[in-house]
Amino acid sequence: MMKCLLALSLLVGACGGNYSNEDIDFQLALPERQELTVKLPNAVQLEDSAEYYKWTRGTVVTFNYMTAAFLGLIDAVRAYPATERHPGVRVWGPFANDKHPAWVVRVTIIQGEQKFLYLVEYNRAKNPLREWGKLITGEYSPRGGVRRGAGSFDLFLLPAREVGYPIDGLDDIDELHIQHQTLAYPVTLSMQIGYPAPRTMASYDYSENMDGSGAMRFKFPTDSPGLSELELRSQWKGSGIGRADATVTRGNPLVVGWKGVDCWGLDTRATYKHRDWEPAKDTGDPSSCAFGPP
Amino acid sequence: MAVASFAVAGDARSDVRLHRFAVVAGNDRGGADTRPLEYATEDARRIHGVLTELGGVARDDATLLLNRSSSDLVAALAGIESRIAAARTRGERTTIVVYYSGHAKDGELRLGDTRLALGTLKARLQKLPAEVVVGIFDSCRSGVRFKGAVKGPAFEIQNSVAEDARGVVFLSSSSADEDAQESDDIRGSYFSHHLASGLRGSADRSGDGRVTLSEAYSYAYSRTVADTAESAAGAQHPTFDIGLKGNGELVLTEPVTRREGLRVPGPAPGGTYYVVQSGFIAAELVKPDNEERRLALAPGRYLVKRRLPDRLRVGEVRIAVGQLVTLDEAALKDVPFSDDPVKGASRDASMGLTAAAGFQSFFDEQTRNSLFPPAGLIGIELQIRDFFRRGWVVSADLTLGGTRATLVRPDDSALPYRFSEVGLGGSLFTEWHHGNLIPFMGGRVALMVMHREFETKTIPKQDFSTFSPSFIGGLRYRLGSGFSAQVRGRIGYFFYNVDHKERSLGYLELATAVSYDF
Repeated sequence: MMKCLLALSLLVGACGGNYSNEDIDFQLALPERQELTVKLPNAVQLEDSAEYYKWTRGTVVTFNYMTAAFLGLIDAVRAYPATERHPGVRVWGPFANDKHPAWVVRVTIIQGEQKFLYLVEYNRAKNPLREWGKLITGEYSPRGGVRRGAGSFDLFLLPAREVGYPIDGLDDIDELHIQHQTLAYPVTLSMQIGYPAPRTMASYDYSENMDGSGAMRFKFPTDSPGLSELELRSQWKGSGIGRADATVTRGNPLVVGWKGVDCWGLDTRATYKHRDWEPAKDTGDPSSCAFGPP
Repeated sequence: MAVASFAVAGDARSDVRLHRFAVVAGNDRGGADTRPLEYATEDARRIHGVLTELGGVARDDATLLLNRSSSDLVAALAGIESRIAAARTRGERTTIVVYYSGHAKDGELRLGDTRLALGTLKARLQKLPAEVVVGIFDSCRSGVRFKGAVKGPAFEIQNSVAEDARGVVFLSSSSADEDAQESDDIRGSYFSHHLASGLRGSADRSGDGRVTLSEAYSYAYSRTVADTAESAAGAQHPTFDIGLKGNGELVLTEPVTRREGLRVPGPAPGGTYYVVQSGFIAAELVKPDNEERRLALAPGRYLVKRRLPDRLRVGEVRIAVGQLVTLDEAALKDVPFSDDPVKGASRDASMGLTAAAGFQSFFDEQTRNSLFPPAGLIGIELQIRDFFRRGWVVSADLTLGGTRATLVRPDDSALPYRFSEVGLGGSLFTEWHHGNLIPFMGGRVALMVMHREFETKTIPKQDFSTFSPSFIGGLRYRLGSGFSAQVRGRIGYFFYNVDHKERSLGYLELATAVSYDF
C-alpha cells in the first residue's frame, strides 16, 4: 500500500505547469513599454538647437525615464509564470530585488468587472515589516487587442523612502501618477510628479497621432525669482519640425501671461524665436512656424 | 512431413537388410486465413528425434524440413525415392515414414504460403518404391479425409496370407471436422506428443521392447482422446486408413535397443507417469497395474510426476549414459498441486519496432480552440510480444507532435503561437491472431508534456504535464518478412488543473503505423 501511495504521489507530483489562458489575460493587463513612451521625432540635440526644443526633449527624456522605472518593477510579471493562482487573482513573487537583496517585491493582479487592478508591494527579506509596503497601485482596462487599452497607476515613493526601501534614480520625487490610453488616436499619456516641499506638482500631457505628429504640454515649477510656474506647449509633426509656446502661469503678476515662442526645423535649429520680455531680439521668419504663425 | 522406416516383426526374410527412411516436415504457418501454430515445428523435431534414436533411421536417411515450402517437400520425396530405389537394387527391403505437422484445409496441406493437394501427395506416396509407406498427418483443422478413413481406438492388420507387410498406411491426428489441438504443457500437439511418448516405449503393451504401428496408434488415439475430451474445442479423434497386405506387425521403434531410459517396475502403482523436463512434459508413460513399462529417454535430469486425486507424487530421476533407471516409488514425494513441476511453456518473447504517424484532437471544442489544438503526431514504439503471457504485448513509446495555432481572447486579442507536445508512454495490450489480420486492444499510460510558445515575446512560454491513461485498439495486418501495417486509435483521459479549474478532458488519437518484428 505504501508503495502504491508513493507511486501515486510521484505521478501527481509530475503534473502541472503554467499552461493557462487566464495567465495570459493577466499578463496582458499591464501597459506595454511603448504605450508609456513619449516619441519625439528626430530626437537629436545640437548645441544650437532651439531653446524650447531642448526643454521639450529634456522633459521627454525625464518622462520616459519615470515610466521605465515603473515598467522595470513589473517586468517580473512578464518574465515568469504566476507564483500563486486564485480565482480572479494572480500573484508573482515575492522576488528578491536584484540590486538590493535585502528587499523583496511581489506583484498582485486582480481581475475586476472591466479592468484589472494591480499592486506592487515591497518588504524586507529578513525581519519583515508588519504589513507589506505599497509602492505602486494601478488599473488597466484592456480593449481591442494586445495591450490596447486605458489605465493609470500611482507610484508612492515617500513612504517607501521612509522605511528605507531604495528608490534608485527617483530620489527627488515623492509621488508619481500616470494615466494612459491607447484605445484610439490620439493616444494620450499624462503624468503628474510630486516634488518635496517647497516645490509642488508638475504635470505633463502627451498626445500622439497616427501620422507620428504629437504634442506635449507640461507645467513645472521653477526656482527663478518671480517665476513660480511655467507652462510649455510643444507640438511637432511626423517629419520632426515643430514649435513650442511658453506661458508664465504663476509668479510676479507683472510677468504672468507673458509668452515666448520657438519654432524649429528638421535639424532642430530655431527657424523663429520670440520672447515677450525681449521683443527686440526676435529672430527668424514667423511664417516658417509649423501649425501657423504665432 | 516425415517418412520413417519401420521393421516388420516376424519378418520371414529376417536375413535381408531392412533400410529405413524418414521425411519429417513441420510448418507453423499456413498462409492467409490461418492462425500460426505454436508447436508444429517442435512436433516435427520430436518425431524426427524418436525415429532417428529408436526407429532405426540413420541420420543420413532422415530429412527434417522446418517451415519449408511444398516444393521443398516434393523435392525431398524425390530425393528419397531415388535412394529407396538404389537400396532395392542392392536387394534391401525398405520402409519409409512420412510425417507432417502443420495446417491443412480444404483438402490441401498448407506449408506457409504454399499448398500441396492431399490427393496429389497420397498418390505420390503410393508410388514410392518402398515396401511399406507410413504417412502420418498431424494437421490443424485438417479436413484430412481419406477414403476409408476410420475413427477408432486400434486396428489390426488383416491378412490371412503369411507374408511380409507391404503397402501404404495413413494416420491422421484428427477427423475431417476437428481441430488438431496444441498444449503449452507439452509444447506440442496432443497427437504428436502421445505418438512420440508411445514410440519411446509407453505404447509397448506387449512388453517386448518394440513398439508396433498398431500399438503406437492405439496408444496415441486413447491418450489424445482422453486429454482433449474436456477441452473447449472438444475431443480430438485420430483416424487411420490402412492399405497393408501381409501379416507381419509393423515395428516403428525398438526402445529396447536403447540402453538409457526409465523403467517403472511391475509392483509400482499403475497410472500415468509424466516425465517432466524444463517445465514441460517431455514424455508420458501409462503403466497398467502389475506390469512393467519402459520409456527410452536421452541421458539427462528429469522429474517424474504422478497425479493422485488429492496431491502429486514427484521425484527426480537422473539418467546417465547407458543407464536404465528403475523408478523407486519410495523416492517420490507428496507435493500439493500448487507445486506442480509442469509450468507450461513460456514462449520466448519477441521484440518489435513500430513507427507511427497520425493526429490528436481533443473532444471539447473550447479546449481545441483555446488550449490544446489538433496536432499532428509521429511516434516510435518498442514492443515485446508474449512477455507476460502469450498473445500479450508490452510496449514503450515516444510520441512527438505539434502545430501552429492562434489563441483568441475575449477582448479579441489574436495571439499566434506554436504548440508542441511530447508523450512518453507504456502500453499493455492483447492481440488476437486471425491469419494475417490481427486485432488488438489494451491500455496505455503516458506522461504528456504540452508546450506553447507565443510569437508575442512578452508572454512567457507555457508548459503543462500530466499522466494520461488511454484505451487503445486497432488492427494489424502482417505483410510478411516481419513487416506489418496497422491502424490504431487511442481514446485518452486528460486531467487539466491549471487556473484552479479542474477539468476532465478526453482526446482521440488516430495513427497509421508500420511495424517490424525482430
